[in-house]
Amino acid sequence: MPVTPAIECTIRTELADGFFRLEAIARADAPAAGQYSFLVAKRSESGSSNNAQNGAFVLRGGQDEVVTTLVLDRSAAGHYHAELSLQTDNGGVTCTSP
Amino acid sequence: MYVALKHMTRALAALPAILSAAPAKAETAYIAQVNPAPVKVGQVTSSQTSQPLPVTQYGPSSTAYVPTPETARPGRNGNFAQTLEIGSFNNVFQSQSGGKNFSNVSVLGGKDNNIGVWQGGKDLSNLNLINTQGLSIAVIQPPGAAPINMLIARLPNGGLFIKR
Repeated sequence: MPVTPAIECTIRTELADGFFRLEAIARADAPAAGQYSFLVAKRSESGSSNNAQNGAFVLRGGQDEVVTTLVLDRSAAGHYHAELSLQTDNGGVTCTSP
Repeated sequence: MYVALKHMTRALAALPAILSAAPAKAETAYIAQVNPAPVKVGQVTSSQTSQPLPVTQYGPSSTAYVPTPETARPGRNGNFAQTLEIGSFNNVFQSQSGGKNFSNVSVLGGKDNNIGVWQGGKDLSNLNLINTQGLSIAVIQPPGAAPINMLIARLPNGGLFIKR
């Protein structure tokens, strides 16, 4: 019976050089593939933005991989909500930030 | 008079050395905004993360954010979206489906602007708004559409400068 590869997700944020960068990270112990959805909403004094990204991902296994990237202005730090969902044939996982 | 002749003699003596030296070269007055060499995904070409460049020589004294390849480097399969808002009450919506999309929306110094970008896959869009107010712009790109690169700036006389 095949073993279902465990998939983990992380939303990595970085504030540098006036930009707030969000990276959707996926990791699996073994090669895996599926669909991802990355939703980010930001409300700050400079305005609001909503970003929706989705597509396919392929993981080689054993290492973190960036499935998609979003960059916002610096004011987004502390004024955003992000949700990353990974779906495979064997199930899915969701993570949020903050 | 003697001093002048002495200087001229020295100048003539140095003339062969000057002529045999490499010709002087001045830097071009133009700034290369596009790297002529193709940039591969994952290739690091610059250590800078942002690079403000003058938008127009005769327009308002403003700059537009031009993402460097390092900043804009997408994931292996993924999309890349960038939203920069420096103003007030602006709204930006970006939707990317499929993969290998790139989108940059910069709203600099404006207010009450509404921008929407929809990309279906393998699309490129670069939209910059400077000092605009109350504009509503939608960019809709089906998969593999032609790239869009647009600058809209409000001029001091109230007119709009639009460059594609």
